[in-house]
Amino acid sequence: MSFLGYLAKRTVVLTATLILVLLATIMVAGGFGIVDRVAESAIRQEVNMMMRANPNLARLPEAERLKVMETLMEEQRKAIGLDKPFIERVPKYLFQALSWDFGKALYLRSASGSSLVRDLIAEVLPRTILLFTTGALISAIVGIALGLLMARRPLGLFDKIMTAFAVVSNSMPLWWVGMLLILVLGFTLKVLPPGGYVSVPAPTEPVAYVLDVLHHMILPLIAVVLVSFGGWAYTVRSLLLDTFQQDFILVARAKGLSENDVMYKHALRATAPPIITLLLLSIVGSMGGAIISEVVFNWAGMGRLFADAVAFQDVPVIIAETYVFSFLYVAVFLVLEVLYGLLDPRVRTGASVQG
Amino acid sequence: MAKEQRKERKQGNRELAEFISQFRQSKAGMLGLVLITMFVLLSVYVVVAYPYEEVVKWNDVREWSDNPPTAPPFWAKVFSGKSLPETQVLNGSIARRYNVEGIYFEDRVLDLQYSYDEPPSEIIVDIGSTFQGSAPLIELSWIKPSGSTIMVFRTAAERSIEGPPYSYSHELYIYIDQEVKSNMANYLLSKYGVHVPVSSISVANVLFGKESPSVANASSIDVEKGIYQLKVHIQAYDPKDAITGFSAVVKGKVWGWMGTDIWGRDLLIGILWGTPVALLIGALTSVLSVGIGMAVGVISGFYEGRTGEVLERITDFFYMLPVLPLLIFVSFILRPSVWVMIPLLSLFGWPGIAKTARSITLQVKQETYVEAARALGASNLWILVRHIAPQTLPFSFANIALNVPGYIFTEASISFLGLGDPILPTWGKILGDAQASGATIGGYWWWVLIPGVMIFLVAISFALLGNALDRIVTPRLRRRA
Repeated sequence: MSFLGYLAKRTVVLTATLILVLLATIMVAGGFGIVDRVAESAIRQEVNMMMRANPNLARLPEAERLKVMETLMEEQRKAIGLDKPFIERVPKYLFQALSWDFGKALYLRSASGSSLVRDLIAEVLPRTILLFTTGALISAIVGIALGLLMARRPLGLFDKIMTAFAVVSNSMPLWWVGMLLILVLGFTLKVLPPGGYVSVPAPTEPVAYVLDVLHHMILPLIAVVLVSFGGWAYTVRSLLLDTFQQDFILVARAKGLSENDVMYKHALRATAPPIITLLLLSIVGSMGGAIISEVVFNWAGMGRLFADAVAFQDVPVIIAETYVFSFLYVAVFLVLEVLYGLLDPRVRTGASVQG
Repeated sequence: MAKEQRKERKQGNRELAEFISQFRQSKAGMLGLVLITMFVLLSVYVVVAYPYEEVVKWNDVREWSDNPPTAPPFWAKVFSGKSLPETQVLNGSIARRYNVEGIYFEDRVLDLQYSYDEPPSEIIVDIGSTFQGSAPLIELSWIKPSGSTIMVFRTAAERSIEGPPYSYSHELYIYIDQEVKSNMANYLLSKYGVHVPVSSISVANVLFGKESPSVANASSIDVEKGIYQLKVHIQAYDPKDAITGFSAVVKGKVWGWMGTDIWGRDLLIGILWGTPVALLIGALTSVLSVGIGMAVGVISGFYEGRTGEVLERITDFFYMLPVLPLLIFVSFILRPSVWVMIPLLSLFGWPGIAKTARSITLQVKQETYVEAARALGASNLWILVRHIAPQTLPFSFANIALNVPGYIFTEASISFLGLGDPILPTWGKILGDAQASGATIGGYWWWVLIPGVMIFLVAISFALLGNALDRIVTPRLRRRA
């Protein structure tokens, strides 16, 4: 099979996955009557606005006005198809969501005042990507460097200390470490801002703005790196030690290559595919886990928006967030498959890969 | 046949003995096991010592108004260097009655031994009296160790609807009562000749500070140490009139082993109750999801045809789901109790295990002894039970332990957002409350530190146990593979 053919097949499978998740989300929300309730309240709001805008209607007696209101609402219901049973409307909702049309938020507004869910998400998504991609990259770099050191002398003192650190740091939720850091660095020592994405009011100059954002990023980054670099180091160490067992390393050593050449030119290169996988998975994983962390850091990203939407019961935003997170996950898996296809020809030819 | 079985059992016993001796050599694993045992014992104790009604009461924030809010634990003085007051309940005063020319008096005194560096956070005084006709006059005064006497509050009893005898009771919040404040101003005026605006008076400073003209609004004071007296004096017009109750709660600034939250709740109860809940959720979810994962993985590896293909696709589908966002979405709709949360978490937790179990099964299936068994006419069931299961079971035990921390974290995240079990206190819920109440930016460190440490300790116990099991199990798999 050609690489493009392989790619096309995987894209179809992953798109199907995505549609299935979306369909399940809509069905669950619809099955519990939540979609209808949201649509109904949106209609009520709109009809109220229409009636208030019309002075003739405002002067009508109470009973008449209610009657007019009911007719108007019925018209609206027909217009958006709410009179049909939910199951018949599913394809429409599905299509809307797939084209990133998530409708209007019930309560939440973007900084520019827009109530379109799409605008809300577009505003916060880059912030989440900025923070958690940076965090994952720093953790990976620090972790790989330390992992190399650990693999130099397995079961040596440094290896043991780092292994213990990895177990300890893996047993702490990121957001709790964040809360502690805010208490220590933000509250007690007051050396870093205790939360937020920029100062209020935000600096107007672009350079100052960027510096301000970076300043606010330091504390969350410390937390992210603190809980993840130990795990990285331990994983890289184990991968390297596994690789050392293999024949081509024996050959490289037999050729008389220096230990540095063996380590960097052969062993590290062989561990590249799993490391890339881990990196991408950790980025997307940390974004999923960002929901609580962003609340803790008051970082106005995807996670904070999700938590706000839950607190305000803003259903369209919740559905959209669920979908966008699924989309990010599936997109990362697609990237992974492409990379794997490029790195490992056995994958795309369908030959069995022996572990 | 029987002989063979006995031989096999012996072999099994030997493997188990070998496993136990290997495990014993792992200090980390033993530490994990000891910690888990302690948590289990603690859970049993908590469920017995604090029955479910206590939990329901814990959730009702109105029950806790007598406790000082956001009070650190008593051992906080280790950090602040200051001796902070604990809450004291004062009652059991002895009446001293006398009468002069048809007026009947009764005095009662409550003693307060006070040797802390800061005044208490509030004093709540309860006074009750009964009277026949004319309303008696009630006066409350405060006598400091130095001997100065301050008139705190004076009132005439009010008639109750029923009676005679009428009953009267009054609950006085000394620090915030406006009359008490103006009495403090009067005291300072008469003693030092200084005018202090009532709005800027700190009652605590006047009552507990070493006296000086500027004590009323000083930012910090030296507390007079010694025995304080709170005295109630009643002036009545009938021999049957009397004080029926006189007690005071001196609210401290520290509370118990784990402090209180913003509603004055004793965090000890919530945090202790979090232990059985966390263990239950972590362990049951892990057993359930590892069970599902093993079943799906082994079957999809064993039956490689259509069944295997379908199961593999399903596994891949679940593997790619964003677990936490979806769980939050579902929890938002269902508001799950613990008993719904456990299967829900398992539903999203099994695919990783299924993938590994599948690859182990594929490996074992290619072993020569499996082929030999098949050639001898062994059934699929026989091969599954006799050859595949012994290889995958140890792996699954290690994974059950290794997966517990993840589920505890996930449940904590959902509870943090207030979407967890509506009644049972969980560490995540307590931390979520802390975050929502500004504990991190208000410096309520105990509210953040202690529940998190509990999460950490339980998580690391299972991680240590799981790692130790994994280390024993993995080489065995490799050796045979």
